[in-house]
Amino acid sequence: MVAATRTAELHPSHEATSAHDNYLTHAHGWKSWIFSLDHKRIGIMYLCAILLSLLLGGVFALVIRIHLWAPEGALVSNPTYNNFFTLHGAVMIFLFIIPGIPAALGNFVLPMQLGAKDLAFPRLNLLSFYLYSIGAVLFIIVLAVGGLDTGWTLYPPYSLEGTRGLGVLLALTATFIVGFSSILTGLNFMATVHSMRPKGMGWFDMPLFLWALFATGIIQVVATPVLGITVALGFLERMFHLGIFMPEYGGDPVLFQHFFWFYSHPAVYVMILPAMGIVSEVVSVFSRKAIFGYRFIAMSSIAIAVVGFLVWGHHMFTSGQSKWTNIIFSFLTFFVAVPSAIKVFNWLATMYKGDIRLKTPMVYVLGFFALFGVGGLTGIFLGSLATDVALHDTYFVVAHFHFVMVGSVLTAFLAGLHYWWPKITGKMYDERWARIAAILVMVGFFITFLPQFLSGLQGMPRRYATYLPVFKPLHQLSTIGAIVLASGMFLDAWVLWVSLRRGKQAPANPWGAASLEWATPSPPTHHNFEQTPPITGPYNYDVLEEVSEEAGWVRNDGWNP
Amino acid sequence: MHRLILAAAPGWLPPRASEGAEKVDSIFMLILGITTAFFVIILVAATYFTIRYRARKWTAPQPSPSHHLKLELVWSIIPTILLVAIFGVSTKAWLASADAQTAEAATTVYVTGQQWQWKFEYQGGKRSDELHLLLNEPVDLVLSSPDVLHSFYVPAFRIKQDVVPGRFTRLHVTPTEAGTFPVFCAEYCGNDHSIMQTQVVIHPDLASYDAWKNEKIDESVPLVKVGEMLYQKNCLSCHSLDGTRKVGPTFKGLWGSSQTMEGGEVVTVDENFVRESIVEPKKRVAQGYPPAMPPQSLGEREMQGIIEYIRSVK
Ligand code: HEC
Ligand SMILES: [Cu+2]
Ligand SMILES: [Cu+2]
Repeated sequence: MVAATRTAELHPSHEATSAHDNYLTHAHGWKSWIFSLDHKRIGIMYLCAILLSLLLGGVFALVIRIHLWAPEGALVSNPTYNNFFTLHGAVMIFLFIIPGIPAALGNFVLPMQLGAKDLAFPRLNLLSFYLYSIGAVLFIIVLAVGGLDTGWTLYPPYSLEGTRGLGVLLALTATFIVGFSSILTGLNFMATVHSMRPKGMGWFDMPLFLWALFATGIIQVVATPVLGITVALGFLERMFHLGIFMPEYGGDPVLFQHFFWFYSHPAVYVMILPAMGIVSEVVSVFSRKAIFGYRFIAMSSIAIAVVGFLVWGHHMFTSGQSKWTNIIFSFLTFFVAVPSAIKVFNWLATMYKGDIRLKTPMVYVLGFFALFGVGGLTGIFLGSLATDVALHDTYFVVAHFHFVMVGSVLTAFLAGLHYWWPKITGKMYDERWARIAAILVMVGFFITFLPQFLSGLQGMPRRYATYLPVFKPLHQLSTIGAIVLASGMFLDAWVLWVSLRRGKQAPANPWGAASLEWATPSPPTHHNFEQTPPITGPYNYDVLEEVSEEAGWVRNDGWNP
Repeated sequence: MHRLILAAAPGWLPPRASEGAEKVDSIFMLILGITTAFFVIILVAATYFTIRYRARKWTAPQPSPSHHLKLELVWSIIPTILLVAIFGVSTKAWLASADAQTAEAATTVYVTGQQWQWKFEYQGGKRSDELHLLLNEPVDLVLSSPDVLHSFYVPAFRIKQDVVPGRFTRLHVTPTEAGTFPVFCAEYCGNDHSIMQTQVVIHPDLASYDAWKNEKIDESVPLVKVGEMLYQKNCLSCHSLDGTRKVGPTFKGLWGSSQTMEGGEVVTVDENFVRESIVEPKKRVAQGYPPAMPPQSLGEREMQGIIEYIRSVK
């Protein structure tokens, strides 16, 4: 009895949505989820797992920031602090940002943007979700067996010392497994984009989000195996003392850094390329204008993916590598900046003479321009040899990569989440509160990380549990910012939660977007499309007309779900 | 030219105390100028377009081109040229200091980074925990580590060099400013990475440098005094005299007391235990404390002094 009422409470809108049979109501029970081959359900499961990881990593981040309120450390002991920053990094990078956009949003949207029923390999897709989950659980076990204090970079000799417990072996295994999940996702996406484009959709008729996911797939498939090899070698070194990375057995710790960054630099583009894909979609839709310079944007994604493989040495300018190695890596690093600059100008040009609507996704994207501007431009200081030698491993670097990986990627992720939310859930959220949350998140972000550029310039090294009192005001400002940022995130979580329970029913096409995922009901039916809709071009807004706020936009060629 | 840029450098840059530091700062300011200009362009364009083209009811977007090859080439090529220019200037400056690395300086200091302290050994056998240098006198620092990675970082010199176990790395510096500046470990190295800090003392003239170099603990100084000086220099950061708990146990009332070690053994603090604590601190670790005490090599008289001093702290 009690259970029955509770279920009814949890699904209050059951009657309302069952107007059409959709992928959420198509089957019931937990088995219909964990054995589902439907890319949409797998996307949702990813989304939940990824948001949990974000929560976990975010709590770690708050502990770090509160601890640093006082120069001598306000909260925990030095070794505990080291555990927190390590796990904050590992969870955020491996479990949140890398899979974030592709595995959760990409999974949901990619087949629909192709007008397809599913990915090329649905079973592989489910397998990669399982692998991700196993890896995530292993990371949690790492916590339980005493944590890990090596930094997410796992540099030997420290990380592979003989006296270490199980933690590092588990973390290496977890990374290996999560890596495979990423490889399989990339492979699946590439295969799908290659083989399942509908008739009439050539390579240059695809939405730019697909170009971005395709370019990301290349990186995932080519770079991630090297991560697998690296952690496997680390594992073997720790167990059998092969003498690869550890000087005491005749190995070379700098070799590990080469291996590690050969993956981890391209991994930055696994994060940022899909983010840029979302920005391209959102900026065009909410300016109601075809994206400016489509080919330049598409090609710059591929250029970034390719050149991104050739710059890893810029993480090692102070490692003692040779003079020429440093010069060549610095030179190539400057070249990755060019395609990114091109994209920014193209986005801005898209807004020119547009019909700009400041809905929540667009608010995030405007913030993205500022955040990515700061993140990208400060990268130039670090690619340049003379200045990097001073700034490397200080808070300047911490601020730079947070602007890129959190400021830009998290913002784009949230833009995408709010953009596709009506499609995914069939519900509209409260625009006003969602915008307030967006502004809190971004203002909080600036307060947190701008001061860190300054303290880094003044010499504050990273990964310090305690620090010289001169840095205190800047650290405290950061901590205040982190709290603002966190409250924005919680407010947004609340807004989305409320929309699930009480949100208005979403029309098929609430934003007036022209790509195909909007040519199916919200939420989509189990098969996405009964038949593939006619292709009119992803940014062709002439075929759309607004009926009303509630009924959204319809195509004037008469083809409507 | 770079003097001019430097004159505009704001006060929040840390002090400059080496030959290379000025160049680094002038390049920093150059990049800051160019990137700020780009950032302003982005912000202004985004803000202006948002306000100017904000959707009003019943307006369809005005027609405008969806690509424009010339424009796109312009904004691809201008950033490329600027980036190559920055690369050129920066690499040139860096090369100058990298080439200086190969020059043989008259003095060499061996730097050991170990968990979690810096040790400096000079030609002639002098050792110290702070780096002492002479103004305008080039010096080679030869760095190595017996345990894990560290990174020798002096913000005032604008340099950083990883210390890699199993090999030597080097730095060539010419100090240009007398004074005392912080030294950090910039590569994460374990529990007390964040207290792996010391100072570099730059002596203004040879007289002051020699005075430091020849300073010996005078035989006429009483043992307690020797111990007190050592305490101030090497132990103060972790051991208090007034009973408060710092990184390690307080010295107050330590002498002659019974202390429980990790593992349950109870020892009485006597001469030999103090010596063992200093030479081999990890052998027996006081219960409830991290094994964070660095081993120290003291002369015999210094050892006697510190024992005498601990005995005196009631
Ligand atoms: C980096 C911090 C640090 C410094 C510097 C340091 N110690 Fe310690 N010391 C500790 C810690 C932590 C312990 C407790 C753990 C242990 O027994 O190793 C300790 C323990 C001791 C003990 C044993 C106390 C007991 O109750 O067992 C003695 C004696 C001692 N230190 C003397 C010294 C002297 C003398 C110096 C200066 C020459 C010094 N320490 C410098 C951190 C430090
Ligand atoms: Cu990189
Ligand atoms: Cu360190």
